[in-house]
Amino acid sequence: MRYLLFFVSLSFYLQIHAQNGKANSFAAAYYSAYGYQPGFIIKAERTYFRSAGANYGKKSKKIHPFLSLEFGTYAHFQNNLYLNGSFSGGLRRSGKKGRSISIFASMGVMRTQHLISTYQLDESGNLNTVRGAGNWSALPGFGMGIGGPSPINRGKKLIPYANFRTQVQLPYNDSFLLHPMLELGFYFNK
Amino acid sequence: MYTNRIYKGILFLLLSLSLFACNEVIEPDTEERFFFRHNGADLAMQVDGNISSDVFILLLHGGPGGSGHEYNTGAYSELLEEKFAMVYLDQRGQGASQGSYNTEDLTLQLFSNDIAAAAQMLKKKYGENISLFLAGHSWGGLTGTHALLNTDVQTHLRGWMEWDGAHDIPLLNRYAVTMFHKYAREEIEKGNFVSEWQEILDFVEGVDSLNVSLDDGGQINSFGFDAESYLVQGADSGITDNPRKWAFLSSPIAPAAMLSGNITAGGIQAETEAASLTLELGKIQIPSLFLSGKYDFVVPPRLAQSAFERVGTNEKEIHIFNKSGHSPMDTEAIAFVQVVSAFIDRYK
Repeated sequence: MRYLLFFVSLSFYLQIHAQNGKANSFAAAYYSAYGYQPGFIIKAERTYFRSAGANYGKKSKKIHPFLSLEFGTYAHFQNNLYLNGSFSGGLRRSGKKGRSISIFASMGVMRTQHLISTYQLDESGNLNTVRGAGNWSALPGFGMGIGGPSPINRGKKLIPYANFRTQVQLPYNDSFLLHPMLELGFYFNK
Repeated sequence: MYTNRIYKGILFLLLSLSLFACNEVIEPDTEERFFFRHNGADLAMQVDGNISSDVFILLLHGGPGGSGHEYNTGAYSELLEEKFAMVYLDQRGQGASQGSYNTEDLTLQLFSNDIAAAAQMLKKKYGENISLFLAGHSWGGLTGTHALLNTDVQTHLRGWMEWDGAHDIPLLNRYAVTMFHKYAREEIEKGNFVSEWQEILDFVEGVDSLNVSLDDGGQINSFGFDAESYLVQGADSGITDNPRKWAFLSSPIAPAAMLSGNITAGGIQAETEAASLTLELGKIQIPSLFLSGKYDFVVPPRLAQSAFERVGTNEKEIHIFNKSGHSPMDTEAIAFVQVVSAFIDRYK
């Protein structure tokens, strides 16, 4: 039986977006890896509404692209401080009653504050540093969600949403680390 | 106005983030984290404490399925780190260690080879002149003893410390059954946790202690922890509760570590349950210290006494902690550290 090919890192976000009238939003989020490694994330997002009001019925105009940029950090009390940044792009499809679903992809980088080397003894007993996790990783990812801004509900005070996303931390020594994340939050309009 | 406030807020958060980025959260002189690649595994290691003392304690965690991270918590670790450099090793397939290999290939010899290589690596990294001691708690007492007997690791060490170590599971089971009988009857007579002790008594009366099955061995282990908790909660026990119950969360990937640890435990269980190293203990020639809790049902203190009598060196000590169960380093941390420190000061 083969095992230990990857680890799963469960994470959780609770985000609150402050949204302005142009469908730009800024979010601050509590973030937690495994529920006990705390951190926070800040995020800026822009949604490109392609139609509103009278033309909304046309199918091609129900789909709205959005882009976001986020920076985050979390800490483990024994080990390290983790910093990451990622850029996401996606599409959100809105229904007539303001319900929406979205898919998105992201690319990011992660840096561990403390360099983690990997050592190996060679056949002569000499100690060498070999390729390991290091302290830089790439973070490609994808996600999907429900809720969020749409032309129908852009005037609403509170717009809830939930995203499920997964990032892959590469490399993680010889392998990789999956970070499935549940994001819960809401947009609010002042 | 509203947008300005948002931008100010974002700026503040970015500045906060950059301050974190500039701060060293870990002092490099006292805390190091790295992996040691050996035989298909990347073993996670943490070195904390007084590295400049040139005295290192390579600590083997319990389990199987534990992690070195768990042991890097609590008062005892802080106190030991003030004097010595503590090396918390996540053994193969456990904690934050990584790798890709077959469970069929998991043997005690493989764990022993990891330990010997880790000792060699520490000497290469920190200097051939460092004083290196090996310590093993519970199942770590088994892998540590096995390494002492089946590798050349003794040549790298100034001493061996077995903390409630399980170097002979069949013998351990026999001693545990005897302890269960004694304490169950006493506690039932006192009226403490009568139904719980009766359940243990009923179980051990059906166990053939000379031929314990894998299932019964697992049950003895489970009842061992239960029995200690009943004594802690019982009146006039004098035994101290373990303050480190949530230490398993110390691993940075705790849920995954529990999963991989359980798989590893399954892979090594049969050999672990059959491991009986008592008759070979005479091959241990380095100074040895045996520590145990009086109320340890998981690894009864008689096993430490047996090892003390058989180990092949005159430089040997034993100490039984009278208010402790399976983890005296947690329940009597100050006394524990005093005993360990005295031993190390004598042989470093």
